[in-house]
Amino acid sequence: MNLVNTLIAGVSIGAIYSLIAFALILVWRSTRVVNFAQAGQAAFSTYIGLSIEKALDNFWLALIGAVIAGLVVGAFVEVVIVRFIVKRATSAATVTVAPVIAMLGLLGIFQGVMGLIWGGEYQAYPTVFARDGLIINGNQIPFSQNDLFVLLTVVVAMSIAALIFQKTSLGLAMRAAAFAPEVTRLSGVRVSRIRTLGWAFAGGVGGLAGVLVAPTTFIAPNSFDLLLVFGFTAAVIGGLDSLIGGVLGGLALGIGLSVVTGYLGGSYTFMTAFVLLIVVLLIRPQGILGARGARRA
Amino acid sequence: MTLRVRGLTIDHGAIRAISNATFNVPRGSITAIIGANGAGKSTLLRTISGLKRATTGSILWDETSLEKLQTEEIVRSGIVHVPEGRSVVTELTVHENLLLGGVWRLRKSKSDVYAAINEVYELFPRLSERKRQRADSLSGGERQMLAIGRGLVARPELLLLDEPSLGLAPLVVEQIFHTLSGLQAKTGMTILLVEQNAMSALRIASQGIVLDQGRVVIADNPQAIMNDAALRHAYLGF
Repeated sequence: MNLVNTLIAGVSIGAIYSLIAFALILVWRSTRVVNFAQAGQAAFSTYIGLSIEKALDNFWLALIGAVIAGLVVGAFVEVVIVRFIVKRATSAATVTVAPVIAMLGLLGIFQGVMGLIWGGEYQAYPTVFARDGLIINGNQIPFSQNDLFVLLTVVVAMSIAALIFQKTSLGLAMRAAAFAPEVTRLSGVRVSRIRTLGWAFAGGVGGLAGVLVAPTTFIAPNSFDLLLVFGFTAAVIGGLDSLIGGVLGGLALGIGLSVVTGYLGGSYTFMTAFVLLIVVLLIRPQGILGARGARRA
Repeated sequence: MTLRVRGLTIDHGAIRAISNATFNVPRGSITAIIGANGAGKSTLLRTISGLKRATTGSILWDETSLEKLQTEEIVRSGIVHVPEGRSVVTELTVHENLLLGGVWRLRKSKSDVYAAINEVYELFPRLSERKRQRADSLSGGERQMLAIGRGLVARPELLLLDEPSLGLAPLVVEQIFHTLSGLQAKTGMTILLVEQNAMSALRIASQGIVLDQGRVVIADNPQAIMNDAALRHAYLGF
């Protein structure tokens, strides 16, 4: 395997890590909660997509359905659970620990419920795009039509997100609420609604990541757990407060892990992600693009 | 509209911050609340804007009682609080900070929000020069101007200002107070100002309220307060 091929092979999975990192950072910025349940939310949304696919036999409707399911589930989790946990955790220790444990518990609940509804075994998720490598100048490269679709979809989704954040008043309110909730409330913005919207967006992005990756990984109640770990690593690499950092972190991680898999073998991949996570935390805890001192909270 | 505070008591856990305070902030006045550090001044403003809840007593904004309203709704009713410490969003640009001040009414009155932003730029030309810079690149004085500017973009009927002079050079303080008093005269807006810098505050005020350990000692016209030697020595330190 030559280097260029190895690099190319990591791009589309890296783009998926970017989406997960984006979803985690969006929630972290607005609520200071690391949403471990994101893996369960994404899987749940993907199952909804799969159910639509089976009922209507339409890939695109399934994709849209999964994103909408992700939005709804994200908003639901914030309104019904997170809001109250955050409100009730007032001492320094509970502020840090309670949401993390609650989100882990919620992940377990999601997985249990999914097992009850859809069963615990792996199911195939269809795609309308070819999954074998494209042929360029007579050589097959490790990048398929499906990979191209994944990459383009992620680019489009992140461009839309960037437009919303930079150019709309909703985006302005979301950024302000993330960094200075009190000043934002004092500016007349209903911050708790903005927070719910943030969780909804994150859920939608997670649902998108789910349907994009499921044709490759298949879907089971816990099939996205590893994705969550990699997404979280990407978020930390990028600096937990920077959305752009998280997206770049995802791509870097995807490509980096592909190089490790290509040259050292698949058994090193998982370990390398953790080594990377710890090295970044040791050397540059604010991440590559995170602001100085961003890890305060 | 008049703000009427009646028998207001506010506790910080076991500590009583404000004790049975009663006073009015008449429409179109500049009311200065003065008193030493820890006298409960900031707590009072935070309670008026709904960031903190009172233990007992009432806060009336004309006929509306504010004690149960959310901060966002109090802002939308015309009371805008600029808290202590040059409260701007450092991650946003100067222009975005100003826009934030009007974002809640952008859909209904977009052109007025932009007009209000331009008025802030006229009031504080240095902000206009730094429009596209991030707020964390501003000096302390510029940040205070931006914080006040963000409040003004909401077109408040009552502006609550917490220690606008804190940590600023005397010349900058002078300029900000001069601007505030000019602005009040021009717009008829009501200003409730909390200050440790008693002299500067009383000079522009039409009413002074002296607060000591959470109690209202006196509410009178500023000249009377400044002329009362005993009051000056006991509470104002000059």
